[in-house]
Amino acid sequence: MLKVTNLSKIYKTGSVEVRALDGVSFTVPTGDMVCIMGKSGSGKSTLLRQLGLLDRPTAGEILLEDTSVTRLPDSATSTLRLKNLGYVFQEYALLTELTAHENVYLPGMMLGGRGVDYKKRAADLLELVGLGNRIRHYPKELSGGEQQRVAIARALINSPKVIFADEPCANLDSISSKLVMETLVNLNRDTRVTIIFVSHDPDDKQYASSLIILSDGKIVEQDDMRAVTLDD
Amino acid sequence: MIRSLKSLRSLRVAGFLARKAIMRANIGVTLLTVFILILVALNLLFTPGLLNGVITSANNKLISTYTSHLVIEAGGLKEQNFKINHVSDLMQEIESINGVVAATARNTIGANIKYKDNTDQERQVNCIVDAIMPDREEKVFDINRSMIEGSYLDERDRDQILLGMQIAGADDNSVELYIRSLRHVHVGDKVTVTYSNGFQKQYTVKGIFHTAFIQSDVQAHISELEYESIVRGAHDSATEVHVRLDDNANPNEIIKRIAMFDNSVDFQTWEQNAGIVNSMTTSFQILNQILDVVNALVAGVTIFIVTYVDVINKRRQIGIQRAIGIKNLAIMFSYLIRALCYVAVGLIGARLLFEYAVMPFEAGHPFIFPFGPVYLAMDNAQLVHTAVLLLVVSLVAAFIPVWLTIRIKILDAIWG
Ligand SMILES: Nc1ncnc2c1ncn2[C@@H]1O[C@H](COP(=O)(O)OP(=O)(O)O)[C@@H](O)[C@H]1O
Ligand SMILES: [Mg+2]
Repeated sequence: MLKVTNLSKIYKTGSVEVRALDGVSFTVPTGDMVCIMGKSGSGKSTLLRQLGLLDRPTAGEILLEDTSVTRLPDSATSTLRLKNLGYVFQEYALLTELTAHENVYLPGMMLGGRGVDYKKRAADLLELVGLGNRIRHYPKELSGGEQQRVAIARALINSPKVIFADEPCANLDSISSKLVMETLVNLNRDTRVTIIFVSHDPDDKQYASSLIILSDGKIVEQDDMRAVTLDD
Repeated sequence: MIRSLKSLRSLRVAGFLARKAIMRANIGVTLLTVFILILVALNLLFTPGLLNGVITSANNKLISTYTSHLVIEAGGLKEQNFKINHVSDLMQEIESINGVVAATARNTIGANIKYKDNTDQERQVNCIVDAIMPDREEKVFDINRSMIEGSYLDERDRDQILLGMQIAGADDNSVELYIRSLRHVHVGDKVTVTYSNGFQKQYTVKGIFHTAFIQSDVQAHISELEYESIVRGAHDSATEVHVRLDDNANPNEIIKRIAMFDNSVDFQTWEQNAGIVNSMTTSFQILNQILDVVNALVAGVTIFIVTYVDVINKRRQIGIQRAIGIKNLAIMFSYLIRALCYVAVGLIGARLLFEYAVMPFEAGHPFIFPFGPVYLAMDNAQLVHTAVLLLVVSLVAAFIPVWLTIRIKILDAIWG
């Protein structure tokens, strides 16, 4: 379970202050698939970065499984990210010097454990995202959609509690987008991993079990979509 | 415990990232980096190698013309008892020891040598006269092979004297101490010697030696037989005994053996006299230190630039690594490992080049120094010094840009 209370983020650039998040509160039950929407500049990315412990909020609190993770030292957030959180960035998120397989198992290596184990798991995950035959390929030899699916596999390697995806399909054509979104949905359904993704495409609502709409750093709408998805 | 386990994981990840980065790196940049480091390492090996060669060459001269390996002197207070007695027995005993090539006794006496040239101008030189046993002397020293005029002494020679080049001058004004020498003395000339005991005698110059080791070339030699006619009661005694050893003999063992036979004598190894050579090489060492600094800077700047350009280009990639939980330590180590790899290859390359190209080439065209040809030499201490210097410098040089990069906020690294 992920619980957010009164989260605010103020960016200071010189004397200019931007209130990117303004008192956001919500709860995400384990196994949920949350879609965050909103106009450009509404604070979606900012929210995701705070939740993903890539930045520190100005105020408010984030509880991950009933533990506050808001004021931990850098080394602790780094370990939390490695073990419990997974990321799918918008683009160019793979390490160019590593093959698809190596990209996926690198966080497994960092966590420790036997090489055979994380290599096997990485190969299985690539199979799962439909890239079993591309494991020796370097990122530049893969299409954007394929790269994003490698990134999804990488996010899964250490069996995280939550996966964050910030507009994972923003740079993809509609066919690739569909493939990536379906990969995420299947994962959520099969492994019960919590997924929080940002999208600007209204059609993506169909994949979510709940929806958060932001405007000017505030939540303006919060829907439980479960009924809708099931109906589909 | 847990901490060291985590660093170990970081090291493993770092090794992996470093290996991949080197494999995927631009081959031109890699080759250029290694090439510069090879040059730097070669530089770091060259001057000390030359210095080593100079020292070795000078030490060999010192041993073969001045000290021999082992000098034995009378023990106790020198004013009271400055003679070694029963020298023939002592030398016989010494020569029976394993590892000893030969021993020879010398008596030394201060003297003033005068020479009047054909323009009637008189010059004089104060020097040490060594009374030697020519047959033995030839087995211990190389002076008999350094005669540039005339011939060496015979055991029976009485009114004959050998002069060092720095005393005779021999009309060769390229000699270092020519101005203070007798300048125009040649074989067959007559010189007047006044010994420190007041005894005065005229000698014919039988030969002039030029060992190119100045300390040796400022001496004059007469025979032991002649000496016994100058100094009363000198028979079978000596001021010092010089011992030549096998190359692999242990001087300390031999000193112990000799001391068992005669505990009234003192010993000096040639190393204890090497201060003469050291003073000659001090300026060389200063030069060496300056070059160390310059080379260290070149190595440091090279590694710094290569690392700096790399982290600038990979700012976002490093941000992503950090975002997905790769430890800063692992990222840092991966760059340090790469720097170490470059340096290691540079060192190995330089070492091989030095040993199999530079040294053989120089041996064919050696540098000529005043005391003879000098051959480059490489000792392990120098290799270790070079390695440590380069490793430390390159670690620091790689550390700085990486440290600056991992201090940037992840957010700014990826999206800044
Ligand atoms: N690093 C930053 N520094 C200053 N302002 C920022 C920064 N990141 C985002 N902002 C501002 O915060 C607001 C929210 O941005 P963002 O979270 O990226 O919105 P979204 O992802 O919804 O488009 C915007 O006004 C944006 O300009
Ligand atoms: Mg955004």
